Amino acid sequence: MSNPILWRNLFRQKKAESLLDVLRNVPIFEDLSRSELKSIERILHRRSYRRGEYIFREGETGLGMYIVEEGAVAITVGEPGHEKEISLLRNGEFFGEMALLHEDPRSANAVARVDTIVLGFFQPDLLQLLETNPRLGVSVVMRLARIIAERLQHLLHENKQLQERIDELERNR
Amino acid sequence: MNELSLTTKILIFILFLLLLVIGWYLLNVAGSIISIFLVALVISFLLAPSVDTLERIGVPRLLGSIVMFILFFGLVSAIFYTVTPVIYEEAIRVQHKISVGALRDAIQQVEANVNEQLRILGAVEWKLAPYLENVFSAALSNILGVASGVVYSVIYVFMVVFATFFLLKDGRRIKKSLISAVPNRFFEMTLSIIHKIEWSLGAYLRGILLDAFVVGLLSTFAMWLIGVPNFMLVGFAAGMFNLVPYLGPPTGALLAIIISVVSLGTWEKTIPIILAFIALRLIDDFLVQPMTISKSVRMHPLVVIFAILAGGQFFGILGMLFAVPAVGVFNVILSEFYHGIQRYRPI
Repeated sequence: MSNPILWRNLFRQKKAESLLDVLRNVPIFEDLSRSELKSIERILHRRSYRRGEYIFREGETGLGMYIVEEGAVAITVGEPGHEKEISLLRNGEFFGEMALLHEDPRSANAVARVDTIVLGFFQPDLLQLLETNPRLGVSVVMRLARIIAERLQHLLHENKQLQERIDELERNR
Repeated sequence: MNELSLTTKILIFILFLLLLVIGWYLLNVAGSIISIFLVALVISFLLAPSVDTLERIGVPRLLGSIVMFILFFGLVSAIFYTVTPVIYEEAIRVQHKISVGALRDAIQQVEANVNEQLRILGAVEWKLAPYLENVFSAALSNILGVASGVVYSVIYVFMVVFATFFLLKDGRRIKKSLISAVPNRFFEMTLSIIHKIEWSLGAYLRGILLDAFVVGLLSTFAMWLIGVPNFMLVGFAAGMFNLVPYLGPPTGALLAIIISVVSLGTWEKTIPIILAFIALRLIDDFLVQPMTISKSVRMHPLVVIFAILAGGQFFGILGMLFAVPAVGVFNVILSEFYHGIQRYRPI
């Protein structure tokens, strides 16, 4: 207790561990080893946003995904002032992962609901990871592909249900 | 994709003018320090892919940086200690042959021939010798001036070596720290632009150096085949001057013709030399450049000519040599910045 440096180091260790815990719970990084998670952590960008500040806006070209480390992020659609909230993301949740694969326009706004810290994982860093550590890079890309495939499957299922509902309505008309 | 609005274009233009003025001021105030950093940045750009490759096969970045660093500067030193004396000796031999007196004789011979032709045409006499003599004397005294800065050069090289190592080892960390200072609103845009500039710039620098190396090698081989004396010196000059598009083959040809005429006392090798360098230029244009330099970063001939003239005007012969690569670098940065702004403009 008399040695402040010791306390500071312990604090840092705890902070680092909690960050690795956050990453461990993100599906794209699940099952990665501790050293692999540390490699991922080195390429992430930690950004702070004040309450009400936009992380990105609908229509802007996306470059990568964000993980909420601390705080809350609302995903909204529509013009400023007439926005509709479609999801509220909290610690450990992530968004914008499609932009990791392709620089497409963002399909929604992301706005900090409270003072928030996010971890950004971007395409240039993923490409760099694939260059320098292909094994780890490929496993991240495979997980990303799996998530997107699951989402596509879910959308196809929803689409099928909607089509069936339309057919039913047309039959009853 | 919609075009940028006129106001945004004017703002970008003003921003770049401002950057140019600041850059010019910094170059005047701390030119040598900035140039140390820029040279180190260029070398680290060239070596970074090799360090990445080593990292890919499991070599830690620090060790990879040390290995590449030792290999690169070892190779440069080896070239300096083995090839430079040979080139230097050849240059001295050529200098003896093309002493101002011998040159005066050669020029006077050309002058007499031309004047004879002019007399036939009824034109005035042509006085070339005194002018060219002055030019060559000035160039020689310039070389002596450069040699006097040896101590400064040693310190400069040491600083470049030092900065290169740290840029190689910690480049990513430095970049991450710099990016973290960018405001949230422009963060993704900055990251994307930096990434694209890095990629294009690395490809451009590696491309022009590889192109110059291949042209140098082919020129040396062609001159050896034709039987031009001091063929290594000619090849070296052709390669070096090929850093400036369009200048490598003509410089090589001119040097080869002067050397062959002065050494052998005959013009008979002139046609083969010119033909060889025309062939080299075509090979460079249609075979080497498409493989080494990406089409998107190649420059318009007018820009090249303007860059050479401006470089020569401000910084002399060295300015002419490095103006085009410098404009190429600026061109890559400007176009990536412009496209970046277009992609990320606020909607």
